[in-house]
Amino acid sequence: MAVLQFALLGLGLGGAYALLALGLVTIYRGTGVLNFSQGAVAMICAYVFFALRDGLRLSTAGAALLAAAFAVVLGLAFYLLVMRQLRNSPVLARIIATLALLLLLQGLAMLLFDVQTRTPVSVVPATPVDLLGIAIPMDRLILAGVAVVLAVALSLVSRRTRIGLAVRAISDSEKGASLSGLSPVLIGALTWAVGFVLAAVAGVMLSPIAGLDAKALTLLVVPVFAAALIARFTSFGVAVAAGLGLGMVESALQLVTDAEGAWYTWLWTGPGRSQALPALVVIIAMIFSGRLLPARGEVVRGRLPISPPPRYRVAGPIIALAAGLAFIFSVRPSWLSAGVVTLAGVMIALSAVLVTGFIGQISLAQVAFAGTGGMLTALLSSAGLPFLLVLPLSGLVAALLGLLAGLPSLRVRGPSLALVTLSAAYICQVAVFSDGRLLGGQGYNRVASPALFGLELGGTGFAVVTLVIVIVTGSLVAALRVSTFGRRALAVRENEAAAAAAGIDIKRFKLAAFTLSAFVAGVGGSLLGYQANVFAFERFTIFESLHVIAMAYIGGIGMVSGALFAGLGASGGLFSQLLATWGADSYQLVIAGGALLLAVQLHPDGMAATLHTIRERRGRRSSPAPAAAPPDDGKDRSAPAEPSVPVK
Amino acid sequence: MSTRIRPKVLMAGTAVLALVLAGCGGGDSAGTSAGTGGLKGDPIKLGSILTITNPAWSNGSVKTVNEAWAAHINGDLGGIGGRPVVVESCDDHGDPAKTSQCLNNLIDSGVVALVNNSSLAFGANALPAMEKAGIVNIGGWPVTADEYRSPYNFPATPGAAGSYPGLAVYFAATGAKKLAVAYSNTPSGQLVGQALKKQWETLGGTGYFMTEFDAAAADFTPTISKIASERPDAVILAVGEGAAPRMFQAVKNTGLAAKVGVSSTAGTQKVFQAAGDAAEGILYAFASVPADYDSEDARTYRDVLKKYAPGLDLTGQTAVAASSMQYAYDTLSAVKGELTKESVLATLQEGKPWKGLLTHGTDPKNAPAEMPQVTNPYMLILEYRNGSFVPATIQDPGNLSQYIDIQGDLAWIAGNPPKS
Amino acid sequence: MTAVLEISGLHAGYGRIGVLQDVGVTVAAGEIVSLLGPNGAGKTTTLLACSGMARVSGGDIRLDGRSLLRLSPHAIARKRLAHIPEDRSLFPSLTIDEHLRLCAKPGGLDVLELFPELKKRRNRKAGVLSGGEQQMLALGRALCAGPRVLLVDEMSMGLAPVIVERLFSTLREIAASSGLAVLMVEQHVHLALKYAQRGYVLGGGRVRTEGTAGELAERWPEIESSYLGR
Repeated sequence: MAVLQFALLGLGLGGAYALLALGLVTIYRGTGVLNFSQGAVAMICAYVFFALRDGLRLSTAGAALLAAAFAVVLGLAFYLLVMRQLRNSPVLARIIATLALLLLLQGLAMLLFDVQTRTPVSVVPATPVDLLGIAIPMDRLILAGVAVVLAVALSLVSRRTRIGLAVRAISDSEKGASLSGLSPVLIGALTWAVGFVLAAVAGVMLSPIAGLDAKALTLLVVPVFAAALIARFTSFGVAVAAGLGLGMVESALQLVTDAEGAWYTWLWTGPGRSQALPALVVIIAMIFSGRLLPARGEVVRGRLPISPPPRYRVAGPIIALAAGLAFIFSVRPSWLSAGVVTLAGVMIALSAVLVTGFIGQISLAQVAFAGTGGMLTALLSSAGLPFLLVLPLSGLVAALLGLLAGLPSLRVRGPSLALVTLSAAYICQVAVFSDGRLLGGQGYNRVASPALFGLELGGTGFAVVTLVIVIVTGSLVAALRVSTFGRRALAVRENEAAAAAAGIDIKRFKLAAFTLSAFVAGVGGSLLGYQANVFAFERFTIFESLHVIAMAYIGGIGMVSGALFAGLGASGGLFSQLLATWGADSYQLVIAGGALLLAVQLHPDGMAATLHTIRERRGRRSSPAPAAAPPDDGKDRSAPAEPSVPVK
Repeated sequence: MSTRIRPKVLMAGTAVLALVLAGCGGGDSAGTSAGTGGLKGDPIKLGSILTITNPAWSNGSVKTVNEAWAAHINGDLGGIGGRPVVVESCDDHGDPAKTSQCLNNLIDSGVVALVNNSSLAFGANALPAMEKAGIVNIGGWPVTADEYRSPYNFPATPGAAGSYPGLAVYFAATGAKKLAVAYSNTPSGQLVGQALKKQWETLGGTGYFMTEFDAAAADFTPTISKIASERPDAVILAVGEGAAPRMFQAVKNTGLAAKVGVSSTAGTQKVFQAAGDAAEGILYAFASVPADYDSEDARTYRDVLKKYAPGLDLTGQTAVAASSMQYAYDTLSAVKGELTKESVLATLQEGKPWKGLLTHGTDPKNAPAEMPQVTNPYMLILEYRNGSFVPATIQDPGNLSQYIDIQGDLAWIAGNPPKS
Repeated sequence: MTAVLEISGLHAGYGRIGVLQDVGVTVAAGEIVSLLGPNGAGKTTTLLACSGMARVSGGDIRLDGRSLLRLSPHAIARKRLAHIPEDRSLFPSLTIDEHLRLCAKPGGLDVLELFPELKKRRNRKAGVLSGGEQQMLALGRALCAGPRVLLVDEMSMGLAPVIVERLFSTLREIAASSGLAVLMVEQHVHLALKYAQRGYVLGGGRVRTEGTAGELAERWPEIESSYLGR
C-alpha cells in the first residue's frame, strides 16, 4: 500500500493531535503555561456532553452549548483560582498545578461517570469515503477539517482583532502590556477559557474515534506537545500542520515498524516504535534549536523553589532508623510491603531532589531511570548474580542512561528540558520497558529472591536492608547539600552565567547531577523489583514520573523531606495502603489532585519549605531589627541595608 | 535548639504510631460478601483479585458471580463441612502496585485460597508473590505465560491460551491459508503473536502476518487497513471489551472481507450496542456453552444467578466465573482434614479430573506440554448473528481432528492439544 | 500651581527589601520635573511605585487628588498615568502600527505625524528598529492616549545627542501645550537641568534636596560633594 494512502489514514490521529495542540498554544500564548491537563479537560468535557446528549436526551445543539459553557466556567475557575496566584511562583509550580488538575479530573471522571471505555455515537457522519483507493471514515476527514478551520479562525483573530493583538502583546512583554493599560488577568482568563473550549471540541469529536474513558485522551500528551513545540507554541497554523503531519507519519510508519526483524533492525521494528516517533522529534528538535519555547517578558522571571540547608543531619537518620525498625517489626505483612514500596519511592524521589532541587534541572524522567534499574535487576538476577552485586550494577546502568539524558540539559533548560526528559521517559515506556524481546515471556522479568551472604532475606529482613540503604542515601544527599558540591550546585541553579564566571564547570556539573540522580533512581527501581519479585514494567510510566515530581515538589523538592513526602504518596505506598484499608481506594486520585492544588497554592515552595520560612521569620523577629535609617554623615549609603539572616 | 527538636520528634512519633496502629489493627480491603445462609461455622475465606475500575477491562460481573455463587453454596449446598464460604474481592484498578497490595491484604486477612483471579495486572506483577506465600488460585482467566505454568495456578478454562489458538484451529479447519493477527503492545500480547505464528505453521497454514496495536491509540483505522492490505483469509484480534467496538467499526469501514475472530471478553451487550451491525458475523471463542443452552448445568447456572444476582448480564465471563466457583467448591469439599492453604494445594496437586460446569472437563495428567496448568484447553467457537450466538460448524476437520472433541452438538476445540 | 502628581511620605521597595524612605515629590500640570542622584538611590523605584510595580509600604501617591495605591499597573495606566520604563518594554514582534493600535484611546495624538520616521517604517516590527526609533515608538505609545502624567526613565540611554535633543524638545512642547505633567529620571545632569523646570536629588532612598533647575545648577558642585560622595 502506498505510503501516501497510509499517511491519509493517519488523519484521525493527526486531527486529534492538531486539535489538542491548538488549545495548548492558545493557553501558552496567553499566560506562558504548559498545560499538561489539556487531554484530561477534553475528556471531562466530552463526558459532560455525552451525558447531556445520551443520558438526559438533550438535542445535540443544546448539549453542545451547555458543554461549552462548562468548559468556559472550568477554564475561568482554574485560571482565576489557581494559576493567577502562581504567576510569580517557580515554573515547576505552574507545571505541577496543571498536573494536579489532570489527577483531579481523572479522579472525578472515575467517580461521577462510568469507568469503562465507551464508544459514543459520532456527532458528525462517519460513513466511509473512498479517497485515493482507500476507505476513510468521513468523521476523520471532518475532524482534520475542523482543526484547519479553527487554526485559520484563530490566526485571523490573532492578527486582525484588538484582542488578538493584546494576546500577542502580552506574549511579548507582560510588563509592557500592563503599562499600556491591558489587563493580564483578563486576557489570561480569556485564553484559558478559549483553550478549554478548544479542548472540549477536541474531546467531543475524538471520543467516537478514540473511545471515551478516564485515561484515553490524557495519554496523548507527548505527541500533542510535540506538535505544539514544532509550532514554537506560537503559530496556530504550524501547530495544526505539525499535528496532522505527526499523525500521518505515525500511521505511515506502520508500514515498516510492525514487521518483525533481525536484531539489527530492533531500533525501528517492534513495539511502540511508531509512537516513540513524536517523542524523538521533540528531543531532536529541542537539542538542535536550543530553545523552542519563546521567551516571555514577564515581570518576575520564574524562580526556583528554595533549598535550605538540612537541619537534623544527625538526629534525622537516627529517628528514622528507630521509627522504621519499630514499624517493620510490629506491622502485618501487607503494611510491611507498603512500607518497602514507600522506601523505594523515597529513593526515586531523592533522585529528583538531587537533579531538580539542588541543580535546578527539571527532569521528568526519574521513574524511567528507576525502570531501567528494575529491568536490569530482572535480567541480572535471572542470570544468577547475587543481590549485593545486582543492586549497584543496576544503578550503574541507570546512571549511564542518566548521563545520556543529561546531554540535552547542556542545551536546553526550564520547561524545555522538562519536555525533553518527558519524551525520553515516554520512549522508555512504550518502546523499551514493554518490549517483550528484551525480557521475554520466558520468565526473565522475574526477579529472584534477594539473599545476603547466603541467607535468603524474608519480608522483614529485606525491609531492614531497604531501610538502611534509604537512610544512608538520604544522609548522603543531605551531606551533599552542605558540601562544596552542594554550594556550587546551588550557584549553578541560581545563575549559570555567574557560576561559570566564577570558574565552575557547568557542563560537568549538570552531567554529574544527572548521572548521580539516575544511579539513585536505578537502585530504587531495583529495590522495587526485589520486593515484588518481578519487574513490573507498567509501574514505570510517565505518569508515575509526573506523580513523583508533583509529590516531591509539595514536600519540598529542594529538601530531603520532600522525598519522604513523595515516598509516602507513591502508588502502593503507605498512604495508598491507608486508603485501601478504609475502603476509600477510588478516592485516591481526587484526594491527590485536590490536595496538590491546595498545596501548590499555599506552599509554592513546598510544605517543608514553608515550615522553614516560618522558622526563619521567627528567628529574625527575635534578633534586633535591621535596616534603621542610615546616619546623615554624607557617606554614600545608596545600597539598601541587608536584613540580617542567621547563617546556619 | 533542644526546644525545637521535641515538636518534630513528637510529630514523627505520632505519625509512626498512627501507621503502626493502622497496620496492626483490623481492616479488610474492599468487598466482602454477604449471604452466609445462616451457617454457623468458622467462615472459609477465599480471595479474588479483579480489575474493576479500569477503562479497558472490567471484572465487575466476576465479583457479582463470586458473591452470588458463595451465597448459593451457603444457602443451597450447606457450605463446606457446615462452614460458610466468604469471598473477598479486591479491585486493583489494573495498577501493578495495587495488585500487589490486594494480594498482601488478602493474605493478611487469612484466605486459604484465591479464586477467579481475572485481573489484567496480576500475572505479570503479583504471581511470584502468590507463589512465595504458598497460596493457590482456583479458576479465573489466565493471560500470561507464567499463569499457564505456575504450579500454584489452577484455572478451569484456558483463558487467552485457549481463545486465540482455538480460533486458529477453527480457521485452519475451515480452509484459511493466510492468517493475520493483531495484538496489544504488551509482553503478553507479543506472546500471543509469537505463539500463534508457531502454531499456524504447525496447522499447515501458508501465510502469517502479525501487527501490534496500542489499546489507547486514538484511531485503529491505520492498523486495520494494514491488515486489510495483506489480504488474509482470516483475522484474529486480541482485543478487549473497551476497544472492540472501534475495532469492529474499523473492520467494517475498511471493507475487510475475511472472517474475524475474537475472545469472548469482547462479546458483551455493551459491545454489540456500540458496534451496531459491525459486530455481525464476528466469531467468538467461548470457554463455556451459551447462557441459553439446554442442559442441566446451564439451567442450574441460570437459576442460581437469577436468584442471587437478578439482572446480571450473562456473558462468557460470568459463565467462566461460575464454573470457577463451582470448581473451587468441589475442590475444597474434597480436601481431607483441616482446610489450610497447604492442604488445598495438596488436593489440587493430586491431579484428579473435574467434569466442568458449562465448560469442558479438566484432565490434569494430559495438559498440553508447554502449559501444564491449563488442564482444560477447550473452547467453543460461536458466531454472532442477529443478536444471538450460533455455534460455528466445521464441515471436515481433516487432519486436525486431534484438536477437536465432539460432545453431542458441541465441537470443543483445543488450540493447544492435550498430550494424549 | 496645583499638583497633578503628588507623592508624599513614600516608603516603597521590592519584596521584603525597603528602598525608599519618606520620599515626597510633586509635579504640576505642564511641568517637567527631574529625579537626580547616583545609581541605587531609588529614582527608578519611585517611578515604579507610581505605576504600581513596586511595593508601597507607607505614604501616598495621588493623581489629581485620587490615590493610586492598591491599583494594578494596568488600572493605573487607564487612569492616564503613562510610564516608559528603562527597557522601554516594547513588543518586539508587533509592528509600529500595531503598537499604536493598542492605544487605549486612539485619536489622542497622531504619533505618526509627530514622528515621520515612524510613519515611514510603520509596518516594521519593533524588534528591528534602531535605538532612536524604539525610543520614539515608546514615547509615542505612551502619549497616544493623551495621559495626564508621563513617567520617563533614562530616555537618553544609548542614543545619539541629536536624537536626544529632538526627543526632549518634543516632550517639552507637548508638556507646555497639553498640560502634561512629566516626571523623569535622567543620569545626565546637564540634560536634566536643561529641560526640566525643577528637580529632586535622591540619595540612599531619601530626598536629599530639591529646587528649580537654575538653583540646582548653581549649587551642583556642593550637592555632588555632600550628597553624592564625590
